[in-house]
Amino acid sequence: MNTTKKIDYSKFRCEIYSPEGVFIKEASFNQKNDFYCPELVPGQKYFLVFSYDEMFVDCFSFKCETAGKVVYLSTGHLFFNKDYEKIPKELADIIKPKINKAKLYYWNRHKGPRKALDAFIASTHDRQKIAHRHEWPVAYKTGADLSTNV
Amino acid sequence: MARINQGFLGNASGKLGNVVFSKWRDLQTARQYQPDVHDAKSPAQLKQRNRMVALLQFLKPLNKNFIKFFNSPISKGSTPWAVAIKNNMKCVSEEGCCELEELELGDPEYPEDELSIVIYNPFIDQTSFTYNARSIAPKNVPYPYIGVSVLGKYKTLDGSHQFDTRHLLCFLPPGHFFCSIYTASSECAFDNWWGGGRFWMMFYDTYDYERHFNPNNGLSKPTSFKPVSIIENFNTLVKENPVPVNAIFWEYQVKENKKSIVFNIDYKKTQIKNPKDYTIIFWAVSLVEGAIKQFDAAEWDLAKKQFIGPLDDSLAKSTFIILYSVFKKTGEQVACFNRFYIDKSSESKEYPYFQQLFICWYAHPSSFVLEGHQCGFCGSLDELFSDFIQLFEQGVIHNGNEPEPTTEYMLRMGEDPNGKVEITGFIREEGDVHYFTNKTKAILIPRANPGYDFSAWVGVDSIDVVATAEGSYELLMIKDRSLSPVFKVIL
Repeated sequence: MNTTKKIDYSKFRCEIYSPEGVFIKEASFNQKNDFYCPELVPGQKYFLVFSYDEMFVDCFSFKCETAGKVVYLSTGHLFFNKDYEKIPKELADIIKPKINKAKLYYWNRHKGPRKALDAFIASTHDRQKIAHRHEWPVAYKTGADLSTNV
Repeated sequence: MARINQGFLGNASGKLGNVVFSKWRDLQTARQYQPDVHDAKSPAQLKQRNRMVALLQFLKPLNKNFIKFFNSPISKGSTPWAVAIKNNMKCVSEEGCCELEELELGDPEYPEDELSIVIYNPFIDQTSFTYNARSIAPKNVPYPYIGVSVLGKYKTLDGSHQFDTRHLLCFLPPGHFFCSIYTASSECAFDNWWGGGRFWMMFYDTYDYERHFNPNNGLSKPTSFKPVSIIENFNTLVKENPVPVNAIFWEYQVKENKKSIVFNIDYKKTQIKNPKDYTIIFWAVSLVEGAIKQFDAAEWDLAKKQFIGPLDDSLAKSTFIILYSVFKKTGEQVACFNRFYIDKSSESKEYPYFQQLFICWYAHPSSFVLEGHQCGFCGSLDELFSDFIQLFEQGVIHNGNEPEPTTEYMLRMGEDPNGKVEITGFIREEGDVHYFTNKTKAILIPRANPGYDFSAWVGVDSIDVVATAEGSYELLMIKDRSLSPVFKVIL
């Protein structure tokens, strides 16, 4: 089976917010569908809100400790860091229309074939599994230097 | 004389008869007493000492990084350093030479994997690797998470060992590794230009937590590599810098509707006494979104204070990275290679260095080393949100009010050498696969070769084929189908 509904990559956005819900900047994209954002402060926590056509796609909590470093965010971050946090209320209020649109479009990120996320959920203990069943999205922690785990 | 510290069964230290008791790294040890050696300078002993000294000099720069990283998990009851000495002593030749290709670290689980391309780009001081981790990553893992360690060794004139130990463990896009690159202002920093090196891969299994703490689990044997520069004869062996970057100026000019870039040199800022004896060879790369172009080398006779490079219309929005070195007119290289970035286009628009590299896809942002007290992030939409994209394109993500996406089903027709099948009703074809919209009918007309006749349909969907007229058949396309004709000899 095949469909003719193609994704329009130009509708993706990546907005960077502070934990207080202050909009900082947007990441830029190139023709290879990669995103890139410099000029963040090491040690400062940011929330990265990815959306498609104003529909919430995912949210990451990002903190990089090392000056000069550009962290490559991959699905590996999700299952390596094994951690998440609630989206602050100030930010949740701002992105609420995006989340509502995602619900309207039946986008539930826990139902997709997201193997890394499945692995993440499978690796957590029961209390966290219950948390994952919450309707409201959480922010997965990213950004730490993964090599420090080794 | 031995001293017993904790009673008769306690630990002892010192000499008792022919036995020496001692403590080493929290371990109580006892060994045979070795009396003085009568001749400590026999040829065999001197040779062995030379080998040991050579090995120590070779391994010392790696002690606190690579040796600790790979050997810690396998050095129970010993030290990573001692394990490295033990495992690599056999690699030292009789003459006391240590080759990087012989270096043994850790306990690899898998054979060495394939490194297809190792290229050095002096324009941005980047070594890039393309690798295939098929031997260590199971095929059923959708997002193989591969850690990479790279140990580079610099070429030196005196044969001393100089290593680049910055890339102990990196996680980059699968199948790629990029060396760190700095801003264009570091004129002669070619830190990523190595004579050779060793490359390790580690597969981190999502479901095996222990693997995350021991690099030897899922570790491949190291692969040796020698980077190839995209600029022939590029080197870092000449250290002198008689024409620094700040001695060269550039500007755009328009004369008679023709654009050009003009380079000028300030002789006072150079250490060249007779400019007419020298020439600058420079190479350039133009960067504009969607079109990166590397130009052939150009020669600037320093007897002339100015060099003019014509620009065609396609370069109007370009920025440039310039690489140059100074040569005597006899051909002898007298200066190190330098580089600088022209961040303005001829239309006077500025393009910051890293942003331009990212937009033009000349370098991956995971290799950028940002200036000042800042950090950043990058990634791929396709990798990070593959599930979202897949569900969206399948029409699972929709609001109910939108028109349903058109669903296509494919018909894969098998071959028989004794005839062909004429297929109509499809919307498009790709190779031997025909695509139909939902609930349409595929019209199938078998055409047998001379001497043959159509016999039957075979395959899982043959039961749904309906004969509509003589020699014509229909198949309702409500799912993906697979079918083959059978032609038989006419008796």
